[in-house]
Amino acid sequence: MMNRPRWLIVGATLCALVAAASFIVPKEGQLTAGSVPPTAAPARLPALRLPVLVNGWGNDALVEVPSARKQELLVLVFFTLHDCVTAQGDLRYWSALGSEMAGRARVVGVAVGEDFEMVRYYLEANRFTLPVAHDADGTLRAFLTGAELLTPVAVVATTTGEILHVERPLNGSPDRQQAMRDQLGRLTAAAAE
Amino acid sequence: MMRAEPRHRQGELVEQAIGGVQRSGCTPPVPGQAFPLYPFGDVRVNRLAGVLTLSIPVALSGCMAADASRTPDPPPLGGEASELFELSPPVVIAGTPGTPVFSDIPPLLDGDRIYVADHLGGRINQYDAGGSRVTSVGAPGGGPLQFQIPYGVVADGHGKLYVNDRGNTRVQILDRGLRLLGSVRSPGQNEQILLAGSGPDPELLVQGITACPGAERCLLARYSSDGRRLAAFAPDPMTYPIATWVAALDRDLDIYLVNVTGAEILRYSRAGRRTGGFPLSSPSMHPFPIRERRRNAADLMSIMTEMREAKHTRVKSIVLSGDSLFVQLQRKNWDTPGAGEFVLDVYDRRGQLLRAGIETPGVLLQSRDGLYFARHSAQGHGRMTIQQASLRPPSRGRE
Repeated sequence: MMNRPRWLIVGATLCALVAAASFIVPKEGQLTAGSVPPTAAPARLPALRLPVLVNGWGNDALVEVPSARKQELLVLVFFTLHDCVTAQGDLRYWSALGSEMAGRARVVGVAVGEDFEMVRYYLEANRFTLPVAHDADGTLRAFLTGAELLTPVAVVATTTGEILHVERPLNGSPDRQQAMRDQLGRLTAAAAE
Repeated sequence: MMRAEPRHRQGELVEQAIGGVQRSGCTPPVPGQAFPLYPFGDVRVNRLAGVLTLSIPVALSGCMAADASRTPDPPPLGGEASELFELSPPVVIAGTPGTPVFSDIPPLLDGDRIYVADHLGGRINQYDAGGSRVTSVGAPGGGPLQFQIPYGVVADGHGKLYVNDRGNTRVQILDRGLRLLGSVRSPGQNEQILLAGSGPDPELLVQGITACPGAERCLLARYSSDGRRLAAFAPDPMTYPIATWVAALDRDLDIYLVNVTGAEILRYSRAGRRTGGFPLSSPSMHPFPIRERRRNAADLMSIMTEMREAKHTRVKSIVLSGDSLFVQLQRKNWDTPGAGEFVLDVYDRRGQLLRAGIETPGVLLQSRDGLYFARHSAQGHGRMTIQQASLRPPSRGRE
């Protein structure tokens, strides 16, 4: 039987699903890829302690909630290894935004997959600077429900785990990317006050 | 079952209630589709006021009597690929830390070389016939000889390779030494590319749900070798749970198309005219059920969740060879002892099932050099096992 990680298969299929939905109902305005109806997300991240396996050194080698980093917001970007161009583009965006927001927001990728060697290879080949943790025991995966499983999805939280914002797939939209950049700017400014 | 009175003028369409046909052993009908029915030729199934009827092109007493005396033998079920094919010893391409084989994108067997697209690393890897790596080219990016999610390679038989550079929405053309010859813009994130024509400058057929940006419905687009779009079209309706399709070309360059979660072959001319099709009515087929339209991501996720656990089959490839259409299925969540991951059905081009349930060592693929099976394993740094497959002569097929 198939011995490929299941989540990889799911990731590989989601892009097509989103495309299908936008294809099927293109005129009803109810869905375009990335425009996802809200779901009732938990208001707080669970307590967690995840090792950063790629691009993590010293004090950056761990993601913790709650965290002692009082001035920073935490942005967890859940992703699967997509063969979806827009999903890969989102990861590139979040990687760049992490560098841009250094000191104000800590952007960490969370690989929702079972084969981290594959994730590591992908990140290194594409020269992503994003620190990436592996949700090996599924703690955070269980936290995602419904439409939030449609990766990449980003959760902006305080150091105590209070969720401030959930951003669904941006699908490479420059407008939505800029809106997210502005939103994160406002949230980090408020957190610093 | 209600039965309409046939009109007995020669040449007129006759509508016949479908119930008798079903009892007589005809292929189960699907509304709107034509299917071959002895001795009438192609008949079409219609839905009139909720009742299924047949349109038959001659005045006759009906299918039931004719067909009852000619119930076709059921196709042989089960068996191994070696009954149909001479199989070469397997060639194993083993991934390494620097050159992993993480993708199950179909490899290309072309002469004494094998090409494997690395969609995570943005590379094309070339191997010799023994599975040893010869050379690699590419890196993630959008420049010449860079790739974003390379999604397969096809060869034209004249020394040129066409790489589906999916993320860059183009096809890069290389020689067999992996040197760049040119590129063709194909604006969608294409699932598959095919070459139409046997000359040195074949047309490109790209297949994918985004094959034509801006078009409301488009799945296939044809390009000339210099990048001009010649035609674009789509099946209708497109209501499958996964919007991924596989396509094949026949010798007349008609296009055969099937959704990976579907059970129906659609046939189109190169110009995009629907020319036929038939249901895939094999005992091997267990397609994931088609539901009502899904309108948001939460609905889609519920499909995905269900699909992750549900026992079903997906179409992995379709291959046209001679007069046969091979439909390669992949079993998902299968727990039947002795049933492997891959199973093959064989139809003729009119949709008559000839063989069903042949266990295969991988996915049946086709290049200019012939047929081969490929199987991917995620163990270690990934592995691809390839076996060439030559069809046995018919007389030996059942030995």
